[in-house]
Amino acid sequence: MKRTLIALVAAIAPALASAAVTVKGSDTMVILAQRWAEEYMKQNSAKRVQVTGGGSGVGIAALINGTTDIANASRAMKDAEKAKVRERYNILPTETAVAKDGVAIYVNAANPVQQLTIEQLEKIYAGDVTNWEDVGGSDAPIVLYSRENSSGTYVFFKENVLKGADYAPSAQTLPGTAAVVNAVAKEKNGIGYGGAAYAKGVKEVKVVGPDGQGYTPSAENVASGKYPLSRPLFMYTRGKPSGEAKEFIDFCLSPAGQKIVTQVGYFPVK
Amino acid sequence: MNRLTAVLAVLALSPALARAQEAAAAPQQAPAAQQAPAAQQDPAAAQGGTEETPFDASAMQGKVDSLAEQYAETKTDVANLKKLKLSGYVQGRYAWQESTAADFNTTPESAPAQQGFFVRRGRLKATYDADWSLFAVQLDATPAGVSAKEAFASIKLPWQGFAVDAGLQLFPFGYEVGVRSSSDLDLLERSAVVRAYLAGEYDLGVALKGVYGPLNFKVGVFNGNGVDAKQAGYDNDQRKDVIGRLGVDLGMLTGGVSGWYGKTVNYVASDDPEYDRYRLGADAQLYLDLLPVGGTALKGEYIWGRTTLSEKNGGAGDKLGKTGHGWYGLATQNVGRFNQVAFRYEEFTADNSLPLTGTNVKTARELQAAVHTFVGEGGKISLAWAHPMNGDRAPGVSSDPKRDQFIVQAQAKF
Repeated sequence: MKRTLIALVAAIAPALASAAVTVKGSDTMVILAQRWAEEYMKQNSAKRVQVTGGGSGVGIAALINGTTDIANASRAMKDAEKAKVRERYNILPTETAVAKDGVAIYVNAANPVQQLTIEQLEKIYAGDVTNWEDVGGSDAPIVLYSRENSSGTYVFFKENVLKGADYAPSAQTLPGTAAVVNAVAKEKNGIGYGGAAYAKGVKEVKVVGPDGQGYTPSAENVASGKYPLSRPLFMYTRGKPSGEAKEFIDFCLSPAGQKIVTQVGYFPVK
Repeated sequence: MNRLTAVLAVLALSPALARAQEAAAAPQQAPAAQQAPAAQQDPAAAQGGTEETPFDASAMQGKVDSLAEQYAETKTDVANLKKLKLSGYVQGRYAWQESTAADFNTTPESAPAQQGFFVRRGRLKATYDADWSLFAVQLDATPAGVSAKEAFASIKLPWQGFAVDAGLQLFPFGYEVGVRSSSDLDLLERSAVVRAYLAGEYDLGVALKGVYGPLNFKVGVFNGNGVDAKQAGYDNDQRKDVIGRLGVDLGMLTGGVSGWYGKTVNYVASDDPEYDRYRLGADAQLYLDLLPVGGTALKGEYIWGRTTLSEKNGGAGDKLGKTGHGWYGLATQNVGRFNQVAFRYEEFTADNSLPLTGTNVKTARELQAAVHTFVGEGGKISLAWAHPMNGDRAPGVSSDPKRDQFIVQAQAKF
């Protein structure tokens, strides 16, 4: 009997030790979360963290149906989503801001346009302005790139730029920010949006703030709130973070974790 | 014995292994066989020569434009399809009850006399969420038949969160009916007072709803008889009822107050008497994150009413003009991510004036418990027990009506 128990414990122990913290959601945060996970596992060899993307909506849905421990989201949870967590688990989700981001506006490196107002962006993405000439560029059609509607960036842009209205039907939806950057880098008349950390090989145009000045999504402008499309990046848990999920979130908020935020191209919250 | 088994296993597997080896070798031979005819058809290729075709940029541009046009059309179609959402759930049950007396916690039409399998709910709901309107139809399919539970048009108003719902919809009253879905009930059935005063849960009418900060409301004018009344969907009394709920959501604490004002007429009686159909209700839910095993919820609801909903008296209802009341209190505890336990105590007095004589039982009491295990994205297995008790009663009537019930339920939801 004793031998059987020892064998059973020996068989179960590795499985218990390797139980991974699952992190799912925002594509904007995938690179950042992967870097956090790598560093965290390097410092804690017995710990495992699994990171997957899919979009903020996908992560939040996984949090509700119990298939992830942490949901990454580049937008705040909606009241209806919070209510679903509450009804299913009898607790409210806890929101932890782990980084800041500026949603950058990407154009092709050859595009002469230097800055755009929120109103101009709204008209461009609503399909009311279709030629670069109308916003200070050359006479060429504007090619729109957008994200899928499961993306938190898609929702943030829709709420803050389009004021809740629908995107133009001509906007091509792409599965990730990297795909948007890649498309804009190849299409000389293209325009896209996404996390500031992804802006490689494309030009970031300035976005005009309420004071009439154009701002890039730099650390200073995002931290001060001058960049009009600044937003926090969140980790959501069912109730207060606990156990290994808490340890991982604590690491993300630690000086080492926040240093990674800067290295990846986002902006620290601490 | 073991050696014999091993020999037999090898003999049985050897033809399969031989086939697998042949299959593994085949792909290496196949390309050579396929290349030979190709080389015969194209001597230039066989000799390693190439022939350049001039690049036609305009033709390529045309193809790209054509594809872009098709893409835009497909995208529009997909965007429209995304507005159409299908959802539903099935609750398959096995129930056993202590005696063959009237069911207390199941649908009499579909429940067995003492034990058996049945489908408690088989729901399929379709919604189409357009820019200024929302279409919703929900069907309930069980062996007893198919019936419409919801069929309403919602017209959105310019103020965010405000809309008018017209058609067959939930009574905007209380927590168990107005807020909680039948697929998410803490116990497997609603409480007795709710089943009496809000029987059927759905009715025909038009209602205004809205959200303003932490406040939400829904108020409307309804037929008032409910879908379980005689001649479902028909206004038996030709008098309209005003029903509404004002709710508040403070995160950890939610609740609401509800009201119902209406009349009903008993046309079966010779003088067509008219009766009040009133209800007042209050509900509260408190969510606590105290225990390490998971969240805790404490919920309660009280309803005072006059005239219950029923198909009796020509659909006018039951306990005509009689005043009653009832309440429940429940606690739900999550245990880990996938398990939940719930307990509820409830009382219901259908007629406050009922004398305690003969075999009368004035107040029904019940204790219930349920254990739920959530399986994957939409599965839930539940085990429930209900213990009815006779409360205020005539002398000589037992406190135990011998109607305990055990239910095992599997639910799949999408």
